[in-house]
Amino acid sequence: MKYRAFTRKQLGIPYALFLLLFVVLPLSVVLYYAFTDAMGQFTMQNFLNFFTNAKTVGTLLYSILIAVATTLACLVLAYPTAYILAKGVFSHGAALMMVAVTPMWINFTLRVTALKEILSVIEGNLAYYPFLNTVIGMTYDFLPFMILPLYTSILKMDSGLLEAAADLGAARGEIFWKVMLPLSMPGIVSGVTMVFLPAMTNYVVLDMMYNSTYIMGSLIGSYFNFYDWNNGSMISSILLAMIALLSWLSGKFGESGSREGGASL
Amino acid sequence: MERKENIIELKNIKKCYDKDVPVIDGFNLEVQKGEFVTFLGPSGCGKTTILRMIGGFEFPTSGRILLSGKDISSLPPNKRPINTVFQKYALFPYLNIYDNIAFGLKIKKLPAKEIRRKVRRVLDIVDLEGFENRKVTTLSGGQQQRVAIARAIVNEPEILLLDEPLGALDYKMRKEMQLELKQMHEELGITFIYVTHDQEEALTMSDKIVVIAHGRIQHAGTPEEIYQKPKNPFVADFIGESNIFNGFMTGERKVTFCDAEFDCVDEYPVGTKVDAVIRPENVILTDVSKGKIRGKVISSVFKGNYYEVTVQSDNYEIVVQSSVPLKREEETGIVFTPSVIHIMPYDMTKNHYSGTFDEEFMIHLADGVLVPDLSRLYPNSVLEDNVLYSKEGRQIKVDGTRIEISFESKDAGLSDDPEEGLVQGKIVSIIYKGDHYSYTVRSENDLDYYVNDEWLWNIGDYVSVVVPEEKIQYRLNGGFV
Repeated sequence: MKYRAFTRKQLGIPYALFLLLFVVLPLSVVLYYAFTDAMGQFTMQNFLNFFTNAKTVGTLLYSILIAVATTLACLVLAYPTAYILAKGVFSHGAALMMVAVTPMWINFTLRVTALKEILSVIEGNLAYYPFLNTVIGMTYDFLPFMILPLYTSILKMDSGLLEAAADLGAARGEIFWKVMLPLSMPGIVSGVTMVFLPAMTNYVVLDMMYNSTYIMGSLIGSYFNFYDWNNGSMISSILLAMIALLSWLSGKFGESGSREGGASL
Repeated sequence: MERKENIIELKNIKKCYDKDVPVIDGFNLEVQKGEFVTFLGPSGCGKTTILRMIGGFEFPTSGRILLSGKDISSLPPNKRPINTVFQKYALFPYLNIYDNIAFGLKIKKLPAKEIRRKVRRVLDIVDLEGFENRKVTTLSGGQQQRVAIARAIVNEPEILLLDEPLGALDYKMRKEMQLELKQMHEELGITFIYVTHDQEEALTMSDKIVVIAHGRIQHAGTPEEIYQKPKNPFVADFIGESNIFNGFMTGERKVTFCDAEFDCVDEYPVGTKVDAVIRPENVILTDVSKGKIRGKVISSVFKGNYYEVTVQSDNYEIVVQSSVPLKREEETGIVFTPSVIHIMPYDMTKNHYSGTFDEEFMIHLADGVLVPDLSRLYPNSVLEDNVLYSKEGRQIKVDGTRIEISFESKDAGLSDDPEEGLVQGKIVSIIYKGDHYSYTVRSENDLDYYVNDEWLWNIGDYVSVVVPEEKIQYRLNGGFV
């Protein structure tokens, strides 16, 4: 049988088609609606609407607040967990890693529902602490995304460097701040990226936790529900631009870190 | 050299990783202030473990480490005035050269001005002026090595530990760094403890060499002593090329080996079994008629500044360094002058042999069969229907397992009943030791057994060597039972 070799270009065609159909085209439509009014005329009014409306700006700030709180909570919980897993403090590190990651296999709404029940037993009524409950829900949901990259970067950490720091007079605390933390920076960066961005938009958790405050995701949803596609698209585009900026920044940070011997996912 | 105070003393250090198998045992050493001491040994001999215990990265299972008389055995590394140059440099990749070197000083919270002055000074010492802002990854291996040294010495430690620091460098670079390290040692006046497996490196740099094998000191002394008067065949073989021959003292300052008697300068009782060491560069080739031993050249290899010639004389091979090439098959005479023959008395207090288990739980040695006490080898095991079960009830298979046995000469005895003993052989040497005689019995397989016996036998007597089973030590998987 005659063997026919595909060139790299030919192999890329399906992927390019996919990108065109499901990424470029929808984005172009979103951008088109963002910069037009209901009559289809070009306008910057949607853009101005977002930044002149106290409610929408407030939603942006609230989203950022939730995302920051969630990311911090994840980081604080995930770092020691990843350390224990990677350094094999317990004899079955791999099995423990599974335990940390398996919740991801269960449907996300199911997980949050279960958490909700537990929280209502503890708090009595979920409506008392909407912000706290949202952060707890998101932290629970996103924790594995923080553990995994941290685990990888701590696993790859050269223990010789920790010994060198101790040799040069560093006590345990100093070793952590001056050596371990910088070495695990690439893992922290990718973990933060993977938690912060979804936390800004994931309004399902809010809904389920009876948090009636809007975040960016719910805001966009509400505009589309009222057939205001133009303003909805503009908010989506603004969020997109912010996410792009953030990824670019963290990508730059993470890249310089990983080249210096750390790890990234 | 004048006697100086001891900066570090290791007292009866023992280190076990597995519960009962020591990697270091009975290790005693004193290092004087300002000395350049090298731990030399093959890989896996325990030299790095010793260094790590001095640095505080490992703790001895028993024994004490004294620094200027104070016990530091349980202090963590950051509490010891000791710094290490690591084998793989261990430089912090996210810091530039300046911050790497300043790391220890910043931890000590020295004023910024002083830190800058000190870092400049060490950069000058290691010849890396102007490299302050360079990244670690942009440096060559040799330069990284210098940074690692600078980072350690900037803290002005009392002892600098160097763990095979030149291992990753190429030959020429290594030679250069050896001389630079030696010079640095003289200028700084810090005690250096250096670990290497490269005997040439050890001889070049050290004031004192500690040859280590199997977790024990084989010989500690100046490079000259170690090279010229090695304490045992291991040291002689490990340090430089050498010809080692089995022999006996056959007269006052006379030794017999290679079927010839030679004058020597070392004095041991007549009959003592010895190893004679002659360095290849000390062997003199001469006319066939003038040689004490004669032989045929079997190879002649050009080595740069000399030819390495191997001469075969009967069953012996003698390696010679010659300034001229010799032809193969050429007949030559060999002369050893008395001063180049170094005599090492054989350790006749212990016997070591190896054997193999068969399926009937007997140990086959080269000269006989030994029935071991299985409960000593495998504690709490049970033998039922020719199957050995462990304490937990699992089956233990021993068939084909290699096992080392040893016993002390004082625990063995001689008998003229061939059935009684472990092995049989002819007495080849007798030394009178005051209250007993020390015999060497040679078996048919040319293995020697050393036995102390209070009765007088004669050379040539056919005897059997009797060893009570309970006096035999077994060694399985590296552990003694």
